[in-house]
Amino acid sequence: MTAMTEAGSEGKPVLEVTGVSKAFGALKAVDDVSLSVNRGDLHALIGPNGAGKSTLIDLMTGWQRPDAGTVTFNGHDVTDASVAKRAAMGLGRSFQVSSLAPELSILDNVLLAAQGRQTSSFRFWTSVYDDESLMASAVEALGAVGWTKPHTAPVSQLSHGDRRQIEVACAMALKPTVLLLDEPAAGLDAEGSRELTEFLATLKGKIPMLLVEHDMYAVFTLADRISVLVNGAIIASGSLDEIQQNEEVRRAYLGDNVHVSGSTC
Amino acid sequence: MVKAMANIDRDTIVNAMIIALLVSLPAIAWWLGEIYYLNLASRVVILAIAGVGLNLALGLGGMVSFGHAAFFGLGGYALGMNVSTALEGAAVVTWPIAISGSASFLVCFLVALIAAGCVAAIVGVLSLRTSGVYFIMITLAFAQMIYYLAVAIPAYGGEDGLPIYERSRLPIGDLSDPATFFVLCLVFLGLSLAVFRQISRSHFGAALRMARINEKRLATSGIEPIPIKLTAFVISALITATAGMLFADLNGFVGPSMLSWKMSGEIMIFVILGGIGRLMGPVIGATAFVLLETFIGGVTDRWGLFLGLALLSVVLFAKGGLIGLLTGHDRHD
Repeated sequence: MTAMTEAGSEGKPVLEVTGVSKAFGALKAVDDVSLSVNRGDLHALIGPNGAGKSTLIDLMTGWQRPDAGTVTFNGHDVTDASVAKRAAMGLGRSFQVSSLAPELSILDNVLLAAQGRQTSSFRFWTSVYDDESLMASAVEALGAVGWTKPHTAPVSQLSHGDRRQIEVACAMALKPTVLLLDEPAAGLDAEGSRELTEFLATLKGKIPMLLVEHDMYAVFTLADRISVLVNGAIIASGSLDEIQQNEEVRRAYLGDNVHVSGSTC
Repeated sequence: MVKAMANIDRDTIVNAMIIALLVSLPAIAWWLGEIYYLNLASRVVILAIAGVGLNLALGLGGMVSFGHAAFFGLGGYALGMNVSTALEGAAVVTWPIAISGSASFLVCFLVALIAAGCVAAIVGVLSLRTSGVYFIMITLAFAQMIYYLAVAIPAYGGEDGLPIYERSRLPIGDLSDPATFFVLCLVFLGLSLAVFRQISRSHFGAALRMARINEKRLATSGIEPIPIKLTAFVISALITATAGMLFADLNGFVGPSMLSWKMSGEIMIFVILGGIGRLMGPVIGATAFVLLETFIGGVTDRWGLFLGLALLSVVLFAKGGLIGLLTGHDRHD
């Protein structure tokens, strides 16, 4: 795969997939894809439904093993590492469909991520609520996403937008070295989407991110680099301008009448 | 917030009352010389321990084990085989080396823990990759294998079971005294409740709870689900095996019935009837079960009908089990 441009890369790759493929029966969901998330970068991955974005995220996070290719994270080959191992190394992610424990409190959800990153879970006799360093990390992560409401309520009582925020807080509690955000704006209204974009803008530069998103406002506002995935292959990768000029992308994905001036489309 | 405080207080009061009844009623029975009721109380306490064990796997970890009779029975056979051979002066193991049986309670305890721990680790490794109905079936299948193994070995009574003519021995106290034996059972119940309570609040407990609710979230939080569940399954088996050992000692008998799927079902009933995942749930569940069995069973052989009705009512109308009815709320957090 040669479409990936290394020009203008601000740093070394933190998370990198090289030549990964994944087939389900006859369907090639991901076909020889190479992609990297570099230090300081916000890399957006766009593509039509069924392009293989979710499979690619699964390959990066460990829910699926690639048929070919490698996944490198923080300089380690993690192609065969489990989801939990990668997360404990600092690979934070949010899910397309909210995946919290609804009957537990906000704090419990966030606390567990801090626990997975910071300490052994094979501690049988110490109360988790007395663990001040975990508590501090959880409160810090909630602060980082701008959560100012009480954190004792069960997640089941939260609105959809609030759950999105808590899910990102869980990822932040991992003290991530990279964040994979799988359609974080899905299901949010215009205002929620704008708030999310503002929040991600504050993280930009601090934590390298891969943003999979349909919301073009967020992508065009935030992304340093954009890769376009169509039918399991990356057809273009580059800066915002390069992607907008790319004829193939226009045909395959954006359509001919897209105006990019910061407006939502 | 105020309501939560009131609930915590009510929980504490209910728990304290259960413990007070569990201590005082047998004390009265002992004072009146009613040995039958004292032994009945020991039976309740022992079955409660078995329930606390399963509650750790089922209530905290969401592992619906339909094979906990295997661990209950292994505990029983560990004691039965040791004590009965010790009384005959025979060897409990003849190959690869001959080891003579021991009537010591502590030796039996150790053997029970090792046997149940090893079997639980094997069963756990093979079954924990599955969930739901498959997990139920695999645990049941393993328990049935051990059941038929016990039936097939005539040296330890086979189908008829193995009588144990004397109680095991402790360095202090005489376990053939019903009151001493009851106190020992009570101590083990206290210990198992302490383990359950500490674990449910610990780092491990937080991970185990998430394994029950959302395994995907657990892994995403950087914690491997299988080792967490396996550890909980083994601890759960150890507690239930302890109960089985005490049960054989109480009855002076161990037989394949302790390993049967009916026993697994009964242990599960203690937990569901009392309140899944609740500290004192299995204690209330086992108490209600033994009371129904003894008093309604004394009037009619069809006491199971009443047990069925009670279980049905709890499942349909009281999600928090009997303990949920007493404390007025159906969750413990």
